[in-house]
Amino acid sequence: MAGAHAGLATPLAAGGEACVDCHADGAARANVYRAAIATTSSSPPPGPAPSSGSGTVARATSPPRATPIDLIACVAGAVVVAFLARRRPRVASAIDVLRKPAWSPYLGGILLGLVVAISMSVFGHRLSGAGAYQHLSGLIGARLAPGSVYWRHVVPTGFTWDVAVAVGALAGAFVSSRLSRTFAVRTMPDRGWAEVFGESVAVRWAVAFGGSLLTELGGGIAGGCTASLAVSGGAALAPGAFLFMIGMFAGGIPALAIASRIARRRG
Amino acid sequence: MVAPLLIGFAFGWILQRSGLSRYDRIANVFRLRDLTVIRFLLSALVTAAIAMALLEGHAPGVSVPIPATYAIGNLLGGAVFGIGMALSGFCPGTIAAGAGEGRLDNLVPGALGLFGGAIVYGLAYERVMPRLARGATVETLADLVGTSPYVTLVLVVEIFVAVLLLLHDAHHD
Repeated sequence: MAGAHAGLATPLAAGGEACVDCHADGAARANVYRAAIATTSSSPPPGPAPSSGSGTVARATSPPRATPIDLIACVAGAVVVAFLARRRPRVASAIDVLRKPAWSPYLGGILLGLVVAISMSVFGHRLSGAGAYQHLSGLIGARLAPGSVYWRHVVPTGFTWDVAVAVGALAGAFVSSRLSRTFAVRTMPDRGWAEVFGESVAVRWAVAFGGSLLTELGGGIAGGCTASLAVSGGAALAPGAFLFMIGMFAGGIPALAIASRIARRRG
Repeated sequence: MVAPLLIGFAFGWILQRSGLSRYDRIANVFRLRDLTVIRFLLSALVTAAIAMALLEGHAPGVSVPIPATYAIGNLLGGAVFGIGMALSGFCPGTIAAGAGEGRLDNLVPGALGLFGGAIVYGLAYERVMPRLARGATVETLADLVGTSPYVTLVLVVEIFVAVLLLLHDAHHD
């Protein structure tokens, strides 16, 4: 069982040969775990990814060439975009933008997109919010379940790339909020919360705990969070990223509607 | 370790300045009242997709990590994630950003919840994930459809830019 993995430093390296000694379905088993690594960790999997055994996570060796129908489709799309984009208002000047405490979602999104592209293409890491907590979870998890394959072999531990990203995010938001004078120590969120769920700090903190627990759990199951799956994966055109976004709204819209109705009936 | 700190710094800064660390912003997207988050996410996705195509091959030895696709797990995990996000107004990235601007409900129950969720996931992993991740593939939409990756990129970008423009018009009407 899991204890037998002791001493196997990287059992998933290569094609899962190390697994074959004990598990008859060694390669298939390794692929399942490697798939999960590619999704739970932003570091590249140790060894070839399960893309038909070809060896890399990169795209197929010789991608199909564009056909005339493809080109017609692209041009038609461009015409639609050009039509929708006619008569746009003037873009705000750069100085206005630097002074502004609240950026437009387009500016924020474009800058975040550049950060994601640098992280992915230059450093080979997905931009992750959830990864840090997975990588720190072994501190307690490995004690709760000493034989766990997950904390022993699947998830990286320690002060990883993702943990550094989370520390950086904390600092970045602090500096940004101080400079734009929006920093304030507070125990409750914006007024939209109290309007529906009331003024109780205990209720807010309980929902904050339960809700964030669900995001981390769901992110683990899905293979990433908003940043690491929806944006990083979506930009890599991974189908799973778009399925994740569909699931996110399919779960979130009814959940909030039901919770709001219950809260209003009680209040 | 300087690069991830800087990347994280920019990440937190951008989330904070764009107001994504505010409860109302996140909750109202799930009430379909304020689609700012969608406009932010689609702008980021389109920009990153184009920039990654331009950067491709310029960093030797780096393999771009592509998340695995396993439909049931992606959808189910997404739904659990969405429930947690809609109720709390958090996603894992915005918890750090909100904590940085002084929000104690992010710093204390938010971060503890993420830590707890990661432990629950780790404990359930061996029982759940081999089943959910069965048949996982690491491929892109281009592999799936069987077209050129550049054609796929152009079409996806056009679709999302069209959606952005339609949302922009709807917002100002």
